[in-house]
Amino acid sequence: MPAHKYLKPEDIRRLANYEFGAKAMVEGYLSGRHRSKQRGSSTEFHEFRQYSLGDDLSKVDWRVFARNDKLFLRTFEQETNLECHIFLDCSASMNFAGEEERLTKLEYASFFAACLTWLVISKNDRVSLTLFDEAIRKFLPPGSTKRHLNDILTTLEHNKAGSGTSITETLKRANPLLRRRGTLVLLSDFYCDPAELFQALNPYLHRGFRVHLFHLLDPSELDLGDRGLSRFIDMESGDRLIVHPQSIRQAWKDHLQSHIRSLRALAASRGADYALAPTSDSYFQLLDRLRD
Amino acid sequence: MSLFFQHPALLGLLALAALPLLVHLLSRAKPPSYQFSNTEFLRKVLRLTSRYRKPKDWLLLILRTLAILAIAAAFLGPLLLSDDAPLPGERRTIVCLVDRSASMAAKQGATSRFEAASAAAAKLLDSARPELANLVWIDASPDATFPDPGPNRQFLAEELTRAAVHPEPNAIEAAFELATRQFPNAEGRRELHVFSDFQQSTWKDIAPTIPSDIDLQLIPVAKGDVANLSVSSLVPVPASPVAGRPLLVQCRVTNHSDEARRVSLTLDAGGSRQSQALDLRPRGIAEAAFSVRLTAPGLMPLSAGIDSDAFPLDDQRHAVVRVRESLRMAIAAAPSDPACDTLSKVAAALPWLDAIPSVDPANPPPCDLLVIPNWSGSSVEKLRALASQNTAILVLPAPGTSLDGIWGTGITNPSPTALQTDAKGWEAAPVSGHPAFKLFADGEFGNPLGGRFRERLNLPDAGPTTVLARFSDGIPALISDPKLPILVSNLSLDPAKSSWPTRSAFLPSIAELVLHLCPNASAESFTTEPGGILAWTDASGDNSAVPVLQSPDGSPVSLISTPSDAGLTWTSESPAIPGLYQWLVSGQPVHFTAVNFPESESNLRPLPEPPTIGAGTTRLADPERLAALDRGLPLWPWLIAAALFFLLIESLITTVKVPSSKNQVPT
Repeated sequence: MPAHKYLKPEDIRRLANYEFGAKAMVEGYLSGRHRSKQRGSSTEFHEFRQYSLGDDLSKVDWRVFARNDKLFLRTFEQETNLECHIFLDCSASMNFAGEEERLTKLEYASFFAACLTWLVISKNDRVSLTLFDEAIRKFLPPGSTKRHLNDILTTLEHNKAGSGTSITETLKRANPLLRRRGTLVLLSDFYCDPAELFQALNPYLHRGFRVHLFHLLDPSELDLGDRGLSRFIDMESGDRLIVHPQSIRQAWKDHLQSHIRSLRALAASRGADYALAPTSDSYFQLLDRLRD
Repeated sequence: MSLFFQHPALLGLLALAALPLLVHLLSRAKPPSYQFSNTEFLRKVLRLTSRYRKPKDWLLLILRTLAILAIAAAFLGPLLLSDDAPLPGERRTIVCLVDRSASMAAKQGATSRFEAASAAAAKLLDSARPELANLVWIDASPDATFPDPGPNRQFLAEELTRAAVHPEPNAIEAAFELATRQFPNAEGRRELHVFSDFQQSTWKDIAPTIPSDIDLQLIPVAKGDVANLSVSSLVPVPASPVAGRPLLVQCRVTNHSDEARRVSLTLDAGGSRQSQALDLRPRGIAEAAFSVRLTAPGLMPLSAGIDSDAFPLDDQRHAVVRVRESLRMAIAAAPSDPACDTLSKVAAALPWLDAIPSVDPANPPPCDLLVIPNWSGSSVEKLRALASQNTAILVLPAPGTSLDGIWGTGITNPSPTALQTDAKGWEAAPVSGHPAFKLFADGEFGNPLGGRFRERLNLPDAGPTTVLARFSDGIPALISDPKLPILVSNLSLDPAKSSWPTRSAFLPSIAELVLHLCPNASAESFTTEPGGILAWTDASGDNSAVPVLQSPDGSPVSLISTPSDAGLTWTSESPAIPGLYQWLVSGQPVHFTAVNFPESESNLRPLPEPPTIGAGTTRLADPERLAALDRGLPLWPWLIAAALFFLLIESLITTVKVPSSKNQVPT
């Protein structure tokens, strides 16, 4: 496999010990490794179900019929493969890095997405990639082949930050594209209204998706620092704002913490997973989170 | 006050006050630019914090501006100058008028008011450094240290250190007059500084005339009221008692504090002590009366005292009475006269009364009471003069005598008195309420004027006289002068014309009349004002006897003798202080002099504000500050301190955290 910017050999070596979503309930066609709620033909008994017209007669438990004179079907859990859907925010704000030597949020997200893709495909599971800003810029449908991995890595490598962000619009449009439920990993800086975000996530949650929200923030965003009077230029809209960061430092911290608390609370109430990911931390911590 | 800049050329520095604003505007014009992920969130934070941040920003701008302004102003060398400050090279004459009257002895913590006044005056002389200066003391007899203001400030400072309070009243007007007399020859500025407690009781209505070219400064030294009790009065009644008769000593204690007090008042009458407890209301007065039995004639010192308080000088009061062996009654009638006969019998019956018959009414011998039966109206002026010299006059006018003149100017009796006779006689009775008949008030002893009077004069009611008794038909029986001890009697003392002298009530009633008619005041004075000179004339004619004057603390006082017509007069060299002085000859007291604390000095409450005397009066608590203002008070240390203060506040404000906005964010 040719060398890719976002997948380093040392990361691959480290990923060899990782397993993705071992306990997750997913759908898939590769039986044997993950449990599925779909009824299947594995050896794991699930339940008895009363016969209804059109059911396969071969699944009728005749011994039960002999005892009760009623037709019951014996159903088994189906073992299937995992399907992971990565949503990567490519808006202009994701191109922010507080210091030159530090990764931008987009680069950080790309590294994580590459690792996750490799990890999923290495376990013969399927992974999809959706790049979005104001709308879906690129969608790579689920796949589990090496070629599919290569396509994703190449896409990430050529990906550039776009303009504005509309997570809600993206989630709305992507819903029909994901035919099977699975794990949805959303990588963004979440400069949006938490309530609107979770309204957009509701269809996925109702369909049984396991949702992971990874909130990517640069350390310079978490703390404005002791700078004097400064002009801030919005990376998405180009708006200019003169601010004395020192004077609003605490208020900014409080406001951001409040925003994070709000996201975390809503995620907890909807059964979704939320994690704050400062770009100064290793993205393997996020992978650790997915392992549970 | 005026503001003066030592370096006005640096006034441009004040423009630096705009520096914080300029820095703010310039930095705002071109601040460093930074790319930021999302300014919408920043805007939201700005909106949420603007309620606190904007006032804070304005406050910081103001504080920084004020700090720079204060520093810039400090470089200008500002001086605060009194409007009355002397011009450079101007000559200056200062007269310090220092109160050393009795009230200045009041303690205020560790020091007295006088010590505070002396220290303040010394400070003023030291700091103002006038070319000429003088000290004038406010006491009973104000005096100046130098005859005219002189340049020797050092001597004045030493004089202030040596001086002590004189327990005397203050002659404020005289002191101001003496002080203003110091200036006529003085050149340049003339300043009169008054250091006093400005005691309310003595300074309230003071209005001395101060020439307009004299700057008057009043420096109060009293720090407040002092709770004080004083024995404010000690009056023996009568002033010249007679041995064997009781002496009533009336004492008054005054509470000069705002709290109710209970004190024990003790009277020492010639070694005999009596005490009474007195309850005093706030700012109230309580009186007590002591009855003293007089057994022997002679001088008797009286001392009334209370327990020592915060101001002990006025806790005692003294008086001296001369106890006489008897009263002398001169009768201007021959012994054969029935009235003289009756009065002689009265004198014989009363051990304290001696009768001297057949005296000349125009030239009577020394006596306490002069009785003129059948008075024809002669020697009116002489009689009134005698009455004014504490000799009681009792006249029984003859028929046809006009009482014109006996009552003094303006009171006339145009018609002569006519004789009325009646075989049956008239009854007389005292007018109720007169103290002479108090003994008979309850009726136990009957009518003091009982009996029937078959002869009388038709006396009219004459103007403002006091009628002590009337006949039953309203004709006055006894008339007295309201001011002088003159009594006109219409009651016949002749047993042939009246049955009164034969009645049992006659003797006590005539005795009471005599006692009440004799003046209360003594012709002999045993008191001297504090600060005055003590004097005693040895009338014995024995010039070999050298008296010793013993002061209240037992120490002898230096005396000077001066021959006079009455004998050798001895006077003290030092002024009198409150207390009881004894004149001793051969170790035996021959005379006493009581010196009492001036009552006006006992109320130690100062005026809330020093009085306004003249248009240019200035009231200052600190003469040193006054002198500093005259020299020019540099303000730069204050400005630097103010700048540091502003910067301290600024740094405190900048460290204050903006209140958390977490509760204002919609979730």
